[in-house]
Amino acid sequence: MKFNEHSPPLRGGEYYRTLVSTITVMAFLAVWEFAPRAGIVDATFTSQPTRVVAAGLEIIRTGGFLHDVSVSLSEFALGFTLAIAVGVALGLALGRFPVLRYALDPPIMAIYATPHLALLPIIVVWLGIGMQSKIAVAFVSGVIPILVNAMAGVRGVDGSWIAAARSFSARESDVFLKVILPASLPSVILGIRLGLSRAVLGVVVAEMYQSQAGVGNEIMRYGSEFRTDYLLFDVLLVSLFGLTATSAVRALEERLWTAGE
Amino acid sequence: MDARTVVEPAPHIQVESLTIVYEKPKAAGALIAVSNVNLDIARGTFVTIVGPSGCGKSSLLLSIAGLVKPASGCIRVNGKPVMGPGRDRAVVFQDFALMPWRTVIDNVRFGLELQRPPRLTGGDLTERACRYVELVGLKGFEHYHPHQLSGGMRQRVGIARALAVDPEILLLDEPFGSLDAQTRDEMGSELLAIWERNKKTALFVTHGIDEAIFLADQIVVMARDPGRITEIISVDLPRPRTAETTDSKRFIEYRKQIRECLGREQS
Repeated sequence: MKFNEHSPPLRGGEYYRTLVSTITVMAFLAVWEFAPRAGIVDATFTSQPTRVVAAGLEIIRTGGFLHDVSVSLSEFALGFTLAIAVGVALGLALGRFPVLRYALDPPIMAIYATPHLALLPIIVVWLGIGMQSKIAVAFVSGVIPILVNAMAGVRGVDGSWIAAARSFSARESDVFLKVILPASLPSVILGIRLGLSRAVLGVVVAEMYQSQAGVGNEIMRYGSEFRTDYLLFDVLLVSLFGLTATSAVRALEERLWTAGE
Repeated sequence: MDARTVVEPAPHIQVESLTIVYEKPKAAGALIAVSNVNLDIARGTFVTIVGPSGCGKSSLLLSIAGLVKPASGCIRVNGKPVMGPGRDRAVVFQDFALMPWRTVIDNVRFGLELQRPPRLTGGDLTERACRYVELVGLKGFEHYHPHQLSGGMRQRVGIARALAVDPEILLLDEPFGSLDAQTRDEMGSELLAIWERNKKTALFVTHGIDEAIFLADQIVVMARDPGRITEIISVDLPRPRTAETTDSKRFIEYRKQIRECLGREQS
């Protein structure tokens, strides 16, 4: 175990840590389950783990669920893929060419500072309440962290690596492909990870605002119908998706860092 | 002062009234790194450049490499003016400049990939890289990443990368500057052993006086403000050189001569 000056050494290492974390989670679930039973809180408002599971089973059995999930997933996938394509390409270009950076820095920073979700009403006016507006929100939410990190990645490339490439008569294309691209890859992946959770959030909130289908739409409906168990199951589903996708990207990132340190 | 030496036949590298100027970032004016330098280097000689920091020794080397554009003057290699980097020259950098995402073998392969020698397949390049990894004594470490290696081992990779493209001229920019004294001595001896095999023209920048003498056929002594050559000393010590070389009377005399030369400029 690594020496950590901020905390006393932990006994038992990884195993001990897993044990403690598990106890916390179990304790939380136990309180959540038994507090309504003991009459401390009202299960209508707080629900219970067993009720959420039951609601989940029922949601999955009914027909509309798969449709909602596939709508949300497609919106996310399309919007986020677009965000990766544009964010990586534009970010690398901005990092590489100062002129482009001078020209586009003010608008990008303005978009960065703007709360995108506040633009939802306009986006809906432009693109309607169908999938297009959600794809747009996923794109706008995801693209900025990807772009900014890709740009930072390129600007952080060690000048001596480029000098080494040039000393071997490298062409411009090779300087880019063999130095700048691999050197900025960890930053690019980091941007993708940060953009991912924002895009997920964007899709769900956009669906909650105005939509005809999707998991966000369902959450809104369950909320208005006061079906807490059902609502919480959907929220859980979304956070599970975000967690899984983020972990996958983080695993990729860690592999790159250990290879690249 | 004209510090030019005439060597027969035509010199491998010719530097003519070279001046290198760096724009100062914010302040007005510019920094003259190298002022009106003339230098001829004969084929197959090992030349070291020694001088205090800021004397323009690295600038001089990097401009011969084609990485720094001179403000005026001319550099010729084999009689042809240097317009930029070329296959006839390879550089070993002070900070190693290894790609951290590449393994040892892939770092050595880097220059080969960029130069793409005709009629060689990817497998040929790897095979050639392997030979040079072995030459610098890193056999068994082919698949390590730079961060897993010591400073000395990293610079071995840097040297192998430069040698792998089979340049006529090896340009070394304070290659052992960041290594501890003992490793530096070892690396110097090994570099000489490798150099003795094929006697490529070598230009080696250092601020270590002993290192400069130990390696060199000729020592170029530089001074600062502005960067210029003050003296060129031919080193007449037998090769191959060993640890005993540094204890010889001759060696100590050279050391004294260079110290005086450097000290004269400072006072």
